[in-house]
Amino acid sequence: MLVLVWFDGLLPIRRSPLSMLNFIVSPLTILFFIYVFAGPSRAVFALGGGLVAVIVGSCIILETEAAFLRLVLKLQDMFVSSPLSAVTYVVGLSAAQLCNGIAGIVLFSALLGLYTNISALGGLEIALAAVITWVSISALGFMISTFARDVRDLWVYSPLINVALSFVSPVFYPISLIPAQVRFVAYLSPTTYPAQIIQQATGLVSASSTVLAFDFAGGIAYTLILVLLAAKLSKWRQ
Amino acid sequence: MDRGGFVIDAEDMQKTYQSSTRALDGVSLKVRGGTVFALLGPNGAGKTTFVRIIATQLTPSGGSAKVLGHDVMKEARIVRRRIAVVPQEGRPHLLQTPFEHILTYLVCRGLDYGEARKRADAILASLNLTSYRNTICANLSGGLRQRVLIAMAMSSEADLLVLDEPTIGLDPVARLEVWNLVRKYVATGKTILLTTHYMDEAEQLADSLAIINKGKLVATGTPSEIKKRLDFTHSVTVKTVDEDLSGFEPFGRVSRAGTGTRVLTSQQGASDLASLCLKRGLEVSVRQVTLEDVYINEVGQPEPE
Repeated sequence: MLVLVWFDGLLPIRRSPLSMLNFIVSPLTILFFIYVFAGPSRAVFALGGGLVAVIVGSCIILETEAAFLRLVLKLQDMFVSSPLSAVTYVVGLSAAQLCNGIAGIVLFSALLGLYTNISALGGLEIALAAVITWVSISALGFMISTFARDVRDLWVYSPLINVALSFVSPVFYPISLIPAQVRFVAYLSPTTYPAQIIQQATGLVSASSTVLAFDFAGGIAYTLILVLLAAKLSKWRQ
Repeated sequence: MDRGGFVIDAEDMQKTYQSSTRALDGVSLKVRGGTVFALLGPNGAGKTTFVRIIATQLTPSGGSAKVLGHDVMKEARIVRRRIAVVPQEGRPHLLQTPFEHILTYLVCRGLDYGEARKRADAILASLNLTSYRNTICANLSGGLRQRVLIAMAMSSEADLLVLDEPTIGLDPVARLEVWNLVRKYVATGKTILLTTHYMDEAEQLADSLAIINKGKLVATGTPSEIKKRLDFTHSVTVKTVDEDLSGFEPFGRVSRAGTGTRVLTSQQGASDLASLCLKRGLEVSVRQVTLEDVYINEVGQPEPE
């Protein structure tokens, strides 16, 4: 698996390092506008949001990368007909895509550490929220990739999914800003749960341990559903 | 696997896609170990479907297939340890080097890192790719990129190598280089299954072959056995399209061939026809029948490239 991370994640970054900026620009832009128009106190929300958005942006790319390897390079066929398991292949590719977000993850984690008060437990909660985001979005990305007939099919989906999961969902803002009557809609997004966990872990919103437990349970359940769906619907051996 | 044993043993293989396209309709064939077996056929004949089933990428709708004695459905994991595939129109990653491709492929196949490095360098040397070891594939020609994929597959030292149209789109020199690689690999006792629609490629490389058309096997055997399927030994091509074909019909089987007319005939018929054409001032060429003649006879005119 590590060799796939090196081959499909680290090597392309080494040869084209500016590609990492691609995943930082949008969250930083949102942070900038929130800072300018809503002030520093609200901008802190954009730090946790930025962390989630960087992970979403780098992991949803798995959708196009997996389709590119399968449909254009046809390298997936070489791996299918080898002793490599489907799970190792998918996990390796998803970890490789996460490498694209490393700079953003480090940046937003550092900013969170600087501008919020995070306890050791809070740090652990943020790490778990990041893992939940990585796994769920990677599963979603790989599942979508297997339905593509052409990589062009997917060009439209990545930005749409990214916007829906990172910017429309309550990732950069507290869920309390959504009217109570329609708040349930926010819980249809897998990124709502990790974003809420991060906002609570950084003390941006205060919530009971029951709410925190609900967000963890929701995030993990959502992740399991997406992983199971990906395993069931994805085409490895056709 | 003994050189004489069957590496591929397919029985009544069928594949119908969800779109209701029947890609394979009862194909049975056996491939002996230590040989090159070529699968010929026009585009859409079912060649790639056949090799994808053999390579455990696709599940058949019916029939059975064994590779190296193992069922491709029930024992796919064992089969995968012993085969390697170069897919049709596959390409390497442009930002990575040949060495990085081979190393990654070998480690993914289960080799430890040190052994994989050694083997990657060895295969690059044996395929004359050492000078490109650290060149990113974006800077390699199409032929070299194809050799990178072949190098990946060959580095596995798999008992069965499946090459799906390995020379498509390559210039003549690059094709010859691929042919040499194939010959080298088989000389080590391994088996190669390749698909192609280049008749000269099959004739040059294959110990035995099969012609497949519309999902059905139409001929199988060694190149000379296949050529004997025709009742004629010679092919005469007359450069004319306006000539009334009925004048040629007594000599054998007449068909249009590009800007000329092809007549399949006997040795005596070829001699008589050539004399006749020369008397009429027509340009004429005579040769022994080739696989291409059999192919056209079995499946019709090849599609233009």
